[in-house]
Amino acid sequence: MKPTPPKVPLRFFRWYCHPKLQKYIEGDLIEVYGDRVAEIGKRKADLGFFIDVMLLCRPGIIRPLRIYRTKSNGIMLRSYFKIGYRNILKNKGYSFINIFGLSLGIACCLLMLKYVRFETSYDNFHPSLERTFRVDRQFPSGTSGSSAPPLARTLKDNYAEVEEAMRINTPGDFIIRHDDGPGGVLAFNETNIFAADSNFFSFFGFELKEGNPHTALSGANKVVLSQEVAHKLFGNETALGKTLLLGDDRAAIEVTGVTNHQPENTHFHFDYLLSMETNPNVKRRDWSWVWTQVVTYVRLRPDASPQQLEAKLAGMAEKIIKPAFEARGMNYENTRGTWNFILLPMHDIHLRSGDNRLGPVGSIAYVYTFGIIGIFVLIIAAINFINLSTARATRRAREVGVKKSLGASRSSLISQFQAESIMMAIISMLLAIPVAEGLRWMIAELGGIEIQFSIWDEQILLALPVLALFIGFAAGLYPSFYLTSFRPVQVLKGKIAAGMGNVALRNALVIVQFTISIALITGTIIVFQQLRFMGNTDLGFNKENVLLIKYADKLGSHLETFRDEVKTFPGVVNAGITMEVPGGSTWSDDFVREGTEVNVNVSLVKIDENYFETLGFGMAAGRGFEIGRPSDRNAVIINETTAHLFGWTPDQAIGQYLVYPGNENTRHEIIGVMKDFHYQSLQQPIIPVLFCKLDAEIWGDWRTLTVKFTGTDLPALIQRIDNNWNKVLNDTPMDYAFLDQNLEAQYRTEKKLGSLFGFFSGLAILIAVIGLVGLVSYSAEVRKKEIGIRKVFGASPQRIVVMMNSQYTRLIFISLLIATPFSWWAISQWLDSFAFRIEISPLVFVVAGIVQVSLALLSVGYLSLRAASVNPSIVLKEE
Amino acid sequence: MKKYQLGEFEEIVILTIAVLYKEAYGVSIKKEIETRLKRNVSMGALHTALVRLEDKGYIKSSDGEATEERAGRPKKYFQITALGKRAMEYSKDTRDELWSAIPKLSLNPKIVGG
Repeated sequence: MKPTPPKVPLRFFRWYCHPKLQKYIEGDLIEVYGDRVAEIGKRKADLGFFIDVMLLCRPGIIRPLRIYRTKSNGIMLRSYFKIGYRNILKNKGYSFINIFGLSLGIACCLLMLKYVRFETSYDNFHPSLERTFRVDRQFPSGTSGSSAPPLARTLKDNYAEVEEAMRINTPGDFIIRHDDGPGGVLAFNETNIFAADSNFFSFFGFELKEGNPHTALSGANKVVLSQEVAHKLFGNETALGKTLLLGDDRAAIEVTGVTNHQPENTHFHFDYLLSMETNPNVKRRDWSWVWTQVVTYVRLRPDASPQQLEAKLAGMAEKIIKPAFEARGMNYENTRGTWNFILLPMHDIHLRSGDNRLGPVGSIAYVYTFGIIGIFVLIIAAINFINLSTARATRRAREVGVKKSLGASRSSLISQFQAESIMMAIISMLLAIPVAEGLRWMIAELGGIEIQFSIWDEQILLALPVLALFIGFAAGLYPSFYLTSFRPVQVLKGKIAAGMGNVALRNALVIVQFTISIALITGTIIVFQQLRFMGNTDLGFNKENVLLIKYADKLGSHLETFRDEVKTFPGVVNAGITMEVPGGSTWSDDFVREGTEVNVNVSLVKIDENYFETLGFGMAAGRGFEIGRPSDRNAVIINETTAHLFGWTPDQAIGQYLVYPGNENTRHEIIGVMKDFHYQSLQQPIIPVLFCKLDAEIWGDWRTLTVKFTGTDLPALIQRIDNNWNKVLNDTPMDYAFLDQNLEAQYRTEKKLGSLFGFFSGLAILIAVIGLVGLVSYSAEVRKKEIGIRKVFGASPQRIVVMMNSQYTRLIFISLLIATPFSWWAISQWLDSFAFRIEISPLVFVVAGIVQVSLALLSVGYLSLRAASVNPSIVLKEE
Repeated sequence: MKKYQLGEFEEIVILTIAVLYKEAYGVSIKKEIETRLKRNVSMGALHTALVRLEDKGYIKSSDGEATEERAGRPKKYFQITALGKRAMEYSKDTRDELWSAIPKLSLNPKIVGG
């Protein structure tokens, strides 16, 4: 056995040695090696060989650097592009499929990423953002961002880490009037009114185009307007210094500032911002720790640690809150353990808090989901691109053979294929931009979601070309490296047929595509199922045909007569007065079971005797409020959940008494227990509710008149009610709405989610099908001869169709198996956020699979039919 | 007279090539030098010298046969060119001249100075 020298040094030698000398020196090396092995043994011979190779590494022997390569590159590049361009035109069909599919994918991904970036950029323009926190309270059921008035002052006075504290209050809705002189008095029902402490502008970075941010909110009866409102009220005149009349009392407030347009990406916007002193309610409740109608923000000192402060806050309950309770004779023990204060960084409010008194919140889960979907769609499109390019590349084997025999180096061939591939990717990228615009318009139309999008975004301008380059490069890898390794002789002889390339890899990629598509389809189906479920669930009352007259409290003492009149109108079945309707805000307070320490925080609703009937609530025990029973003034009705929390069955609760600490411990008899109903959306569990009469001595002045009507002649009815209204209040517009519409609006986010999901499923499927079409039509063409031969041997067209399609059906089945557990898990997570949800039925996955299969079969059906009906003689003739 | 650049090792190599006549190739040159001069010759130094000599035009190469021991790689045989012969002679002549110019006394350590 001839000993061989060590391989690594040998390879190294071959690499650096000048080609002209290589053979001879290598021969010498081997000869000497052979002698040495005989003389001193293999080990030492190996060492000697190694040393020799090292010592041979000298200037005279090393190959010269490849200076001669760079000169040809510039010219070669142009020829690559020319050839690439011609290739694209030669196969317009495939090229279009390829390019369009990829642009669609890129466009999708762009939009999604834009959306993600926008959502995560909320509140980034406020000063000292990293030191600003909202003070939340943690309950077992979740966190609440609402706090009570004394919290801010307490924090500032007792904790050194707190540099500043600020509160924002929600005073409710008011009518704003402006005396326009000759124009008369303008009146608007305004809903976007807030009140804030004087240091507001040091917390929120809104710019004032009129007014001084330091003084605009100090003192009573001051208001800062948004730019749009100022324009609405005053046109182009300066708003500063003008007077507005607030609410029914027509309190005069002075405009002390106007903001520039408030940026979209913040968790709090306002039309009117009153100074805190303008809302006397806040001052009045300065002692109360349960009147949670403000939101408290703090800014910490630069060196302070939020964790340390949070730990200290745990002690606040005992030190400060307990004495405050006891000073008013309220029972502190029942609330023990609920005073967990946490500091929520302001930046996290929009996406991670789940609760915002001041406006809508987004959800970090949705942001992640859409980000992932965007990336998935891009992956599908990129896979398509790579798949199709790879399959088609094998056609060019002959071209490679010719070029090689003419002397092309392997690297130049590789460059050529890469250049072509990258060129197609760049065209796709350019096309993606108008496609993205089109998609954005479609999303806005169908789903009502606005995604800001402009290409003049540094990150995108950078990322796009890089992405195109990367995909083009990846797609070009297989053709360039595999094809260019052919020996010219084999290719020119025809021994390497234009084939399908690496089938296993392509199948794997197709499976990935189908899996993603199936997951998206199931997601869409389930989202819509859940939506339908929520729309159809019995809410515990009747929401159809209920007209809501809002701000009915303005009618003052006329309210009850107004209601009685409306009851007599034709088309009206019943009318009832309530403080708040289901789907509206909750106003909570504490009630205590008499004789015990059991305290329940209930949502308070004041109603009249007709309300239950108007909305069709059911009673579980006892009775409703009745006219002519003056003792009802102090009576209350609770729902089943409340009774349960107090420790009673519905029947036991009747005749029991509750004590209201907020009003010097007045006693209230429970006269009825009603069946549970859904006050809030189905995402929330059923909350404890307590009803009392309108004239009970408890706070709560808001009123809504609910009117149950039959469907006939609604406009006339509204007109009549409006006329009545104007008879009482002729300078106040009547504001009305419909209960069922209001309730539907609760699920706006979910509806948007459903639309978006549906939209993107459609897109993903489209892209996957495009890819499939490309592959199958290509495969059909390549296998023309095979099909011809099969037909000659007796295969019927149907059999051929089945044969061609069955391979893809198998793949879809595998995808179904993979997609099912994954999407089951993901969807369950989403459904868990609903207190009331559907169960996932396996049927959904089967349906998704069937949809996918049918779509795939439909799209390739025509193609395979056409391929199968080819005339064998024509096909086999070409040789 | 032209100047002939010939380093010490190069001179030895070219002399050995002359000695070996038609048998001069890499390994044989190496072995010959090692046997005669009892000094180790590295392949690197040797081949570098051969390349340089060939570049200067003092030797020329021709292809030889491939053998089993060389795993099929051919040998490269070297021969002296006319230019090379002149270079060798020049070198020899200059050495001889110097030698003959040495006074007897210089190399004889017997006479001891006072």
